[in-house]
Order: sequence, then C-alpha cells, then structure tokens
Amino acid sequence: MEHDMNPFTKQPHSAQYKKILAGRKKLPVFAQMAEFYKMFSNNQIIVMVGETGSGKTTQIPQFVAYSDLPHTKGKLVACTQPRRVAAMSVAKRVADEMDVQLGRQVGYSIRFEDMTEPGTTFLKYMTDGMLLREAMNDPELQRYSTIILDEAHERTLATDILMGLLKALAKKRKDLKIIVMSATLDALKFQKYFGLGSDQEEKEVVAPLFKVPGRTHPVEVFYTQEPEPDYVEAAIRTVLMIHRAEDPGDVLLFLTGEEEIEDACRKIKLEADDLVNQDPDSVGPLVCIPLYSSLPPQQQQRIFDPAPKSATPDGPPGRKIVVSTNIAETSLTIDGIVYVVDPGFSKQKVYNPRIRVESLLVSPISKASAQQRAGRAGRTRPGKCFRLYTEKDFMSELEEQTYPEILRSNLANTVLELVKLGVKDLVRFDYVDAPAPETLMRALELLNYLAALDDDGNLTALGGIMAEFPLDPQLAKMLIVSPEFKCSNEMLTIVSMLSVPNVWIRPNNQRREADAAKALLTVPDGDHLTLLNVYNNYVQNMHDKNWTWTNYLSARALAQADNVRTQLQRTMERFEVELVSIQDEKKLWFSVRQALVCGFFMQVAHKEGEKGNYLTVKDNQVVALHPSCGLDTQPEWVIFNEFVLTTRPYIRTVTDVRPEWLLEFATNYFDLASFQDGETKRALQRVANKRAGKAPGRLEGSNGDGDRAAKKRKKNKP
Amino acid sequence: MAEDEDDYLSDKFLVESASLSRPKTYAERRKEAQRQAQIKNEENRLKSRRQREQESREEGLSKSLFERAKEEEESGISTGNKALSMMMKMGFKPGQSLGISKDVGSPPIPHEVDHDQSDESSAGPSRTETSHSATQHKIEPIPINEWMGKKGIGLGKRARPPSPTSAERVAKMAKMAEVTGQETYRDRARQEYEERRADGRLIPAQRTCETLDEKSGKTFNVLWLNPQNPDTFPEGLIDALAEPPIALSKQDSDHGTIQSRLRAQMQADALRPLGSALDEDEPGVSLTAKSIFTPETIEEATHFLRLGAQDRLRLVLAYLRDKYAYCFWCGTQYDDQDEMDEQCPGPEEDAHD
Repeated sequence: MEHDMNPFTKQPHSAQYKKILAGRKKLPVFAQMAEFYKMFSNNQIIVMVGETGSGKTTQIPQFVAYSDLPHTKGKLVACTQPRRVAAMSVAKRVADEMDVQLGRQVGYSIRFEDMTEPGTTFLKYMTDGMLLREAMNDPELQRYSTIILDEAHERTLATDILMGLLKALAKKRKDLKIIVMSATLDALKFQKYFGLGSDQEEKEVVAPLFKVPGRTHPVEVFYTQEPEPDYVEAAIRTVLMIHRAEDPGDVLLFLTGEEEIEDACRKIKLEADDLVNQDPDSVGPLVCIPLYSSLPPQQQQRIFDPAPKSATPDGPPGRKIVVSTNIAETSLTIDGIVYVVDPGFSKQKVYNPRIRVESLLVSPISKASAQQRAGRAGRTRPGKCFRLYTEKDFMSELEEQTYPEILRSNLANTVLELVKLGVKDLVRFDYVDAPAPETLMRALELLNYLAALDDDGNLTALGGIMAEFPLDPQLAKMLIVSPEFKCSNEMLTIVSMLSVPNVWIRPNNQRREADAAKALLTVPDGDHLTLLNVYNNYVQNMHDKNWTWTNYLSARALAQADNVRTQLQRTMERFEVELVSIQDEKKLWFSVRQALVCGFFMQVAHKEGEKGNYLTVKDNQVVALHPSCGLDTQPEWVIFNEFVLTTRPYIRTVTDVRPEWLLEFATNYFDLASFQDGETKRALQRVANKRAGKAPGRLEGSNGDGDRAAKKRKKNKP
Repeated sequence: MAEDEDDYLSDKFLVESASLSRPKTYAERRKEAQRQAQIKNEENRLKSRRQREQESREEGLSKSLFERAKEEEESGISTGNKALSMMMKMGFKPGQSLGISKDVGSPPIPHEVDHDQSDESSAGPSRTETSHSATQHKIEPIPINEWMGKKGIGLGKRARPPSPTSAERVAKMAKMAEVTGQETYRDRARQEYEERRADGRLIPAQRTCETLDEKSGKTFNVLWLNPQNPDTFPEGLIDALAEPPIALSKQDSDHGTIQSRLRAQMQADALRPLGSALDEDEPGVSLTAKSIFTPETIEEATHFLRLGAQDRLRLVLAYLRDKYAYCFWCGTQYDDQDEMDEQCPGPEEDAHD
C-alpha cells in the first residue's frame, strides 16, 4: 500500500491516494491488520464484529483483495450489503481509496444496475439479493475466492439464505473463504451456526471471532418516570428541552416514517424559532433535518451538514437535529451526535401466511435495537440517550432481538430461487432461523398454482424462466404469458412501474392540486392501467422533468421505471418473449386486464353488499379499496397488487376484472368444488353455469393456472 | 319466526283476506317467509364494518393453514393440499418446525402440539412463543400486532386487543375473588340470595355465549363452563383440572350454604394446574390433558370456577357486551358498540327496569 505504483493499474498513485491512506490508517480496523491476516489465512470461515465506523466495510474487503490477489486467478472478492445505496456508495469510496476507476477494478452490482467489468473487476460490492440471484445459475459461486457478508446482524432475508447456502458450500469448496461481518455483539449466534458442531470432548467448536473495538464513549441512559401518552409529542418536547438546557452537541431523534418525521421537523422548527425569539441570548439557532429512505440522495446528504453557527459571535451555539427512521440505527454514521432521543418504535415489515397480508406496521423496537440507538450518542464524545419509556417497560415490554426478516416475509420469490439453485429439501434446509412452516406452505402453493413447480415440488421449464426474472413470481408469470394477449409491451411497462417506489407525489399543503393532477391521468378501469397511462405520457413528454413536476409525479421514480423496463426487456429478449401490442386502445386495455389475471388470480376480491366492502377470495378477509384507488365504480370482482394494513385493511393497486376470466385463466384456483359455501362461490357458480350453457366443454383442467399462453409459446418454439 | 306468524284465529286474517282479491297460496307464503328471512340475514350482516374487518381477521389468524387443509379435506371440498403434501414429501409433519434443530442428528421435537382444542379465544392471534429458547425454530407465524395511535411504550400495548389476554382475565378474576373475601358477615345472607339468582341467570347467559362463540368459530371458551353441568366441560378438561368432583357433587347436594361454599373454595384453592405429581402417576391422562389445554387455559378455568355465580355471570355478560355487542338484559345483539351505547340503557340489570 505504501508503494508509489498502483499494483492494480500499474499507474503511479495520485496525491489523493496518499491523503486518503493517511486517513485510513487512523481507522480502528487498520491497527489490527496483521491480526486479521493471521486469522484469515488460518481459517475458512471467520465471524467479525466491529461497530459502525470501525472501517470494516471499506477496509476488510481491501485487505482480502491484497491477500487473495483474486485478479491473478481470474476470481473476485464479493462483499454483500443489505441496501442498494450502501453498495453503491461504499464501492465508490473504495474505488477512490484504491485509486482506481469505479466500475473497473472495483465495482458494484445491484438489481437493475451492473457496474462491473467482467475480467477486470476483482472487488465487487453487491446487494445480498444479487449474490443470491447469481447463485441460481452458479450454485458453487465458482467465480469468487472470498465472500464477505456484511451487516449480517440486520438479518435480511437474502443474507439469511446466503448464510445457509454458504455453510453448505464451504464443505464442498474448501478454497472458498467466508467472512461474516456484524455490527452488534451478538456474534455468538453466527459463530455457533458456522461452527463445526461438537468435538470428541463434547465441547462446541465455534467459528473464530475477529473483533474490532469501536471508538465509542460512554452513554448515559435516561428513562421517563411514566409511560408517554403521545410519543411524538414527547419526542418534540424532549428535543426542545435538550436544545434549551444541554451542552452543545447534535441530536438524533428516531421516529417511524416519512409523514411523522416531516411533521415533527415542522413542529420542532416552529417551537425552536419561538424560543429563539423569546430568549435570543440563551437559545441558539436550530436546524432540523429529516432522514428516510425515500428521500432523494442529495437531500439525504444534508445530514452531514455542520450545525448552524451561532447568530452572534458570543451568542449561544447552534444545534443540528436529525429526525430519522431506523436507517440511522446501524447503517449510517453521523458525526457530532451527542444526544439520542428514542421513543422506542420503528416501522417493521410483517407477513402473515394465514391471511396473506404484508405490511409495514409501527411496532415497539427490540432491546438490541434500543441499545444500538443509544450507542449512536457516543460516537464523538460521552453522550446521553433519552428513552421515552420507563425502565420497567424497557425490561418487560421489549423483545430481546428484532425478528429476522425471514420470519416476517412472503417467501414465494426466495423459494423459487432456492429450488432453481438446486435446494430440494426446503423443510430441512439449514436456516439460521427457520420461517414458520405455513409461510413455506403458502409459497409452494403459489408457485404450484403459477405452474412454476409441479405437484412434486420440481421446477418446471416455465418456473426456470420465471426465476430468471428479478421479480415476484406473479409478475414474472404475467410477463411471460403477455404475448398471448398481444400486450407484452404494456405488461412490461406495468411490471416496471410496480417495481419502483410510488410515482405519485402528494405534498401536505398541495393535496388537492396533486389529487386533481392524478385524476387527469387516471384510467377508471384500473390502477394498473393508470400506471401504464402515466408511463406512456411520461415518454410522450420526452421524460421532461417539468412535466413530472406539474403533474405531481416523481421524476426519480419514473426514471427508475424506465431503467427497470430496459433491463427487463433484455431478459424478455433472452427468453424470446415477444414484444407485441394491439393498436386499438379499448381492446388493448381488455387484454391487459386479462393478462393481469394470469399472474394475480390468487389476489382477487369480491364485492359484498353495497357498502364497498370486499372479501378476499378464499381467505375471506373483509377489506376496502385503498383511498389512492382510482376506480370510478365499485366493480364486483377486482384483482389487487397488495393487501396491506394501515389504518384499516386495504387492497391497493386494484383493477376491475371479469369473473369469466378467473374461471378461464385460473381454472385450478377457481375450481368451484374447492370453495367454501358463501356469496363468492354462488356468484362464481352463476357465471360458470352461464358459461357452460354458452360454450360447453371449455372448462378443461390444465397443469397450472394461467399457463395457456406459456404452453402455446412453447409449442411455437421449433 | 313465531312472532311473525299470527294466530290463525286472529281477526287480522279475516280482515286481510277480505281485502285481498284472492287468498295467498302456499308458494306465495313461502316466498314471503324466505324474503323475511333474507331481510333478517341482511340485518345481521350490517354489523359495523370495522367489527367485521376485525372478526374476519381474527378468524383468519386463529386458524392455521394445516387446520384449514384438514377441515377442507374432511368436508370434501379438497382432495388434500398440494403444498402440504410437497412438504410432507420433504419430511415435514404438521406441528414441527422447519430447519435443522440445534442438536445434530435428532429431528426437531414437536414442542408445541396443535392447540385447536385449546382456548384460542383468549390467547388468539396474540400468542407468542417467548417461552421457547432463542435456538428453537418457530412453528407458528409471528402474530400481527397493530399499535394504535401514538401511545408510548407501556401504554397502548395493542390498543384494541382482539380480546383480553388470558393473563388479563386471570388477573381480573383473582381480583374479584379477593373482593368477595373481604365482605362482612352481615352481607352474606343477601349475597346468598343473589348468588342463587345469578346461578339461574347464568345458564341462559352461558348458552348465548356458547352460541355466539360457536358462530364466530370458537370451539371452546372457559366462560361456557358450568360446575353443575359436566356436559359443559370438554373432554379431558375435568381430568386436567385434577379431581373432577370439585364442586360438582357438593354443590348439587346442599349448594348455597356457607360451609359448602367454604369447602368448595378450599378444594378449589388446593387445585394447581398440572401438578407434577400427576404427570408421574398417570402419564396417559396428563398427556392428553396437556396436549389439549394450555396451562393458561387450565389456570383460567380454575380461576373461573372458583368465583361465585354473580362474578361468573358478570364476566360472561361483560364478554358478550365487549365481543358481540350483545346485551343479555335487552336480549339484543346490536350492530356495534356505538349502537349499543346509544340504545342499551346500561350494563346493569337495574337499568333495564
């Protein structure tokens, strides 16, 4: 590293390199380089623990690259990240540190974006999901010499599955090295998991631990005396109390979501301005910065701005308040934070296979999370953490650990990936934490109805193609069958629009204007068609940012959709899924709605009574159309993209469908014999009777639902 | 229905038939009756939306997919769940967890048996498996807990719980028992009269409770238990509660006297859910009891049976009001809590005079 010549590019090092190197040498992990090399060369699997800011994410992969010299063997070092943004930003940083161009020796790979150069790139940052997808076609991950799983403590679904795969793979590929990195101290679980079991003396042999002490200072923790009747209000009060009474130092407040955060920022700012006006000699200026993942990157950068200067040279110092979701809990380091305010909540994903609801719900955090949050106060100097709950409730009400994502997710996609990469036994797969059996049952059920798996659980040819699309299986199925309905261009657009964040912008103070703009783009037959219409208008207006602005649309999300569309189009071309359209718009919309049924026939709701209640088919959940839904009537049958719980149970992104289509394109699922008695069954029975009268013999069973088109397509192949 | 049909001797018929050009045929009357029934049905269905959302969710969450598959197969609407049979082929058995259990070599132990018989109404979807060590894999999905509003930790623990948890109900019962114990001798005579009265009321109240519960899919509820009627005890529960003749025979013979009450109380107090001695003595009995009833159910039942008739009646009536918006004194099921608040004079019998 000290050489003047860059060993990877054979170019002299730039001046910037030396400067960065000096900074790197101050990182805690740098001091333990020799120790790391010793452990790394003596062990196949190691577990590493280091606080955020220890430098592990940027430095360890570089240490490994210098040791493995992967480019000399035509191999790569992979380092996985749970988040796309992290993969991109860390890769950029490391490219700078190594004095190479991003995308050449050092690159990144995330869904819908590959920034690597085959043959040149030897250090690749990637999302955990991407590595899992690569494993589908290269189950032994032959191209990698070392795989580093970073942020393993976050226990994302993909990281958990990768741990299971790598544990088995390590036995097959003795040359493959594995490092599991975690920010919290519960590494023992990983050490045991990757351990060798018990030796002859019945002593458990665990994987070795490499530990980098964090540079943390003590944090004093305060609890409230009584539970708080309103945690947001209490949080605002606490922040203002800190601003008025505590020594200089920035504040980090944890809240749960965009709306709550923006709201709190506004209120804090108002109140603080009041305080400053009343008492300018003792209260300094305050700046309040929101932070959440849907914020555009430039705005996210604002959290690194310095605190405001005092108004007068001798005046009280200014203070920066960052109001954040739990993304500031582990993955981001904000220097200067001395005070943490923790109301004890975060939005957490939940999935329940019994009623198939998937939502983000505000829930109490775990003790481990609370400790992590408190730790954020001790990064720069001794700090304080204000917990807005009692110590007793901390002990009794909070779970020890946050449930890993695998316990809170729909596994349809994961199961398809696992089957594709050759995992036959999903029951005895070595899960770190096994999902509920019913979750697996639901995943298999869906894949079987979609004809991706046969009745014995084997991958079908169709399933093999579906797995190649980086999409939920329903969406992949829809794309594959769409040429049959002569609307594959349109389905490609709809799928792309469903794969990006919400395109609608609805600012608090301009709701009416935003809704009016949305109404102009709305197609009354269904929200899916509205998405199609929005995208088509976006393209007609030449991706004009002003157009998106005046129509209250997110230019960023639309640009992303455009990119996703290009990527998916390539996959479609690779599998010879034709891109076709019909000219007549009325007919086209009809076809689109039919094609939607082929993917989403298991997400259908039937209207019940006149009150706008819907009942989900087979699960019999009482739901309502989400307020964002643009249907002008309440059709009897609808398909929906999501079933969510917010203030009420809602179905979101909904399109009107005909019951005949359900019977025709999803014969197996809508086999009337399999229905419980009820209004839904009676309604279907009426339709079936009518159909039987008109076209006898059309109701023949097939292997899977919605695969009429796929079969035909296959037949067409030579 | 009886009230809808008038006495055939009533002069109303004469007047009506006179005004009609021709008498109603049987088919017409049948049609009319059907229409009436449908209207009634419709009314029943017009419960508040929120209530129906809640009920459908509770019902959906309380039944595992394995139970559902079994029921569907038994009722003949399915020939076996394909997904389940795939899992079985991989070596899965319902009641087990997925994954490899901690100790290598031995298969995972089914550490919680089906609780389809147990008291799902009390534990319901809020059941957690915190009692199991962290290394154990889950056999049930994580329950959905909605946090309502902005209440801080320690307050809104599930602001609108599906129903009070078992522990909460046990605590309430324990408190009731304590209050009874503090009453003076002077009150006793009146008390005993009240008790007998309550005893009589309890039977129809429990019957209503059972009907409504069953309609909403519950197979068992502690509140159905009547110590004087062994039929209200599901099979195995009496065993689980140890000696069956607790209050049964005693109260039959001379119920109402102080001695018998005291004796019953003492016996009830001696009860402990699932004594360990029992396990050793009668492995067969305790095993079935254990497999069907969770310790919470048994504890709850013990507490419930220990209460006096008035307290039991109060619990049953409160449950009917909270859960089904049903007022025993009005004899009416309201559409929702709001309507009950409006139209029912109050939870006490006196208010209904």
